[in-house]
Amino acid sequence: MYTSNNKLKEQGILTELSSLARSLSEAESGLTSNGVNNTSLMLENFEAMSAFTTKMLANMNTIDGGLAALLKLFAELINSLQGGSSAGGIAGIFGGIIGTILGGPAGTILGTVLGGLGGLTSPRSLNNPSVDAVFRSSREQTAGSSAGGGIINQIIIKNPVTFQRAFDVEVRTRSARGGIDL
Amino acid sequence: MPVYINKYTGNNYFQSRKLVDKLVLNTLPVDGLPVFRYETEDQLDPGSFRSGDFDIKISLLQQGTSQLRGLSIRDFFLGDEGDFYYLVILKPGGSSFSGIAKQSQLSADYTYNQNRYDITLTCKDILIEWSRRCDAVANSTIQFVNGEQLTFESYMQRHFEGLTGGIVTVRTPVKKYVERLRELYSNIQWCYALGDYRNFITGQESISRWETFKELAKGLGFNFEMYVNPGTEEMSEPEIIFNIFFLADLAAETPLQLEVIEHKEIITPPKLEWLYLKYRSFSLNEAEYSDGIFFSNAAQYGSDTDHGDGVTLYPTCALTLGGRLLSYINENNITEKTVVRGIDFRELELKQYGYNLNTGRPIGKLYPLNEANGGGMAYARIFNCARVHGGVLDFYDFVPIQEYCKLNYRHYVNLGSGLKCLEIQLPSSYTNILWKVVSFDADNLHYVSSIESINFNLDSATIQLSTL
Repeated sequence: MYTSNNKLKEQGILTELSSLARSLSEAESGLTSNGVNNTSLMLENFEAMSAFTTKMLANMNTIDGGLAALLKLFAELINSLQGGSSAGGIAGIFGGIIGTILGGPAGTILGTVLGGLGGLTSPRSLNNPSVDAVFRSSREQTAGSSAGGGIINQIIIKNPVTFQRAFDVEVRTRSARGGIDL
Repeated sequence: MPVYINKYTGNNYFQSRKLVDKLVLNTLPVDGLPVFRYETEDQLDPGSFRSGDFDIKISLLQQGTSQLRGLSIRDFFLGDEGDFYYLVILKPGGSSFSGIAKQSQLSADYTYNQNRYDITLTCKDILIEWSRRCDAVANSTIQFVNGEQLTFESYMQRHFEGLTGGIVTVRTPVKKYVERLRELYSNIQWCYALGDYRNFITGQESISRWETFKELAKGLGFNFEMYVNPGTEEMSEPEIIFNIFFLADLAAETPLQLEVIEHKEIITPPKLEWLYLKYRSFSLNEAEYSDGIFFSNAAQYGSDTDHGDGVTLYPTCALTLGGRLLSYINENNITEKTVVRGIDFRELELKQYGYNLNTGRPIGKLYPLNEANGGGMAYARIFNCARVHGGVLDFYDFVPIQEYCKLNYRHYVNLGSGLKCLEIQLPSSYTNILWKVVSFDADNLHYVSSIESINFNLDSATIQLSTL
């Protein structure tokens, strides 16, 4: 059961983690060749994401044990920063994080969108290997959540509703969805 | 504009249902009906029967509490584990659309942004639920003994006896079927489905009642629709109307008065000139002989194959060259007309059921012939007319039935017909606008053949009209 105390603790920890990330990144050179301080922008994103995650935690009492996963995610983020990843890579990390938290295609899509927003501040190649690696890692973690070692999809729903939407009527686009033969 | 949702346990609304809870919503999100499509038939495939489905999206933030258990929207749908299903009734404008969503056709999206914090149900038309119910019961379970005679109206009630679950009303047109036939041939004494004819069809244990009903609809030329009986939406078990009707009656109906927002039109691709309906057939070495009818806009050739003497084959519709050529051979053994499959004609396929005539009952002109090479009879042949020929009463006349049937398929032999697409304001005075007539001028009648989308908040819809 997710309690309000746990929520407060997590909110506090997230705030602290955000500060830690800022201090770590300020030690690095944040200027890119075109002079934009991407790290600063990324940190703003990270704070926004922290707020978003906190808000989501507060609104979803189905999330349980989210703290451990968030810590693990944050560790990956720090590793990425320290490893001198490109801006796109870090934005991708954010995307991957969100995608992993939300799970499934919806999360991946949202993560991709957020990742894309993060990358708008500097030109980057869509084929950037680090970006691809991050998303691939995120997808693998999401898909292999029960394999141990990966990031576990934290959403627990009582009914067997899958995010793959394995309905007996497959979800189709409007244009492809015609009448049904009787 | 309310949405009524009843939650049940059971396997089929028409077979077993136990009400669990009810939810009434008075609004939906702006994108609350992301998918909505209802069809009546495939315009390029005569004898097809189609239905539809819709997705309904309910925001988890909108107000609503279930009526029986006082649950929130989320708990109403996802609070319990179990194999539930939901009867969803939409009432945009004056119209009513109903569908069934199984628990497995429900998904929740807890993403708390992008306007997604919602639950989506995929609902299939209630007609699909009905078809599944009827498809699970063998035709042999219809109580129809030898010697029994049923009118069209009585037979339709009998066909669904035991399946209605006390909530389905099977409606047939006010104008009796035999009266329709008498408009073509005034010398018809009666028209009945004969128990003997039904009973000598073999293998009925593995033929479903839904299949035979569709075969009847194709072979007799009627259509059907299903909708919630107005006024029963708020009941624990809303009542359902299963309405059987003939296209020929639509022309006499008062056309819809539509407020048109957009008006588009296309011309359909040309259709083949002739349509062929085969009601009984048997193959001999030289040809497949059949009784049936093929017709165009301007002409028709029909046969009632044999004369009961066990020898005479003519007049007949003879298929040769592997079924590619269709010829009408008259009673003097003269070929009057030959058409080519795929170029001149297409066949509306009526399933040819095997039969066993060793019943000891009189079977009129359906005497045994050599069917070792295939053949059979359409289910519609359980109906026969009694008609006077030259002072002699013919008890097994099928000609009026097949000639009336073709009235239902006239729009499939038009060389090209207009197809209109309208965006309209949903009329407030009609429960179901599908199959309703729209008049652009006196000689230009259309009917609503599909609904492609509905704007729930504006009570508007995009509909398609076909030429009547």
